[in-house]
Amino acid sequence: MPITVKLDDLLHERRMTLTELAERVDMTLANLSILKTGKAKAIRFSTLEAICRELDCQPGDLLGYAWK
Amino acid sequence: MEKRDKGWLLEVGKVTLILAELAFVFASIGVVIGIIALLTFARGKIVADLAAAGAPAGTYLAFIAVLVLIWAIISLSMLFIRNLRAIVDSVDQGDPFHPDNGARLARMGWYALGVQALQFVVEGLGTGYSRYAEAVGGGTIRMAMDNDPSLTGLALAVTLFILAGVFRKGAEMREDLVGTV
Repeated sequence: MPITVKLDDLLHERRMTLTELAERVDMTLANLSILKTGKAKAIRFSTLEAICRELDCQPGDLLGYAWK
Repeated sequence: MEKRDKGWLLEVGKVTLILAELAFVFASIGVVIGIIALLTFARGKIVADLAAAGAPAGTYLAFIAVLVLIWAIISLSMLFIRNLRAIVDSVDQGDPFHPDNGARLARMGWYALGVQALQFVVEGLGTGYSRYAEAVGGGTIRMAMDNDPSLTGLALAVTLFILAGVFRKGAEMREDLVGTV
């Protein structure tokens, strides 16, 4: 899929672990891990909103489009 | 998938289906024994009895054909119940939109159609034989069949094919949902 998820980079920049983010956005670690590894087929606006709120970023900072 | 409590109705359904499948298995075995008996040790007596009763030629073969068709109807019904049991089990496991359920429903639709077609043949055979016997033997021998095909059976088959499509779509949506975070 040409959509890339840059959650790993954002977490690294904010010095936050995936477990910590999962607790803050009230998601399971498994689901967040699916998103982080790019295996997710879809993302809810509510999930996007929660992640952007906690990481203080824009949706565009989290998602990218790799055109090849 | 997490196992959830679905209540007593599902349990009653499961037990009923197991009993129904067992009944079909026993019926199938009974009919096979009947066919074997007709073809082997009982053949002489039955042919003699039919001749004594003035049955037209071919009655013996008609009996065998009807039994074989009845065996086929029972077998299809058994397969129908087996697929329904698998669907009920998937519901019990909290996974009603399992990818296999669409295919199971479609198969059940074909089995229902098959049963209707075979019932039609059996009914036709019985009616045809009775008319023939009446013409030849003066109406002393009749072959009565009490399982005429019905519109309900055809409606069941059509409903099953539609449900199969619904479940196939449901399974696709479930797959999407699994990947949604």
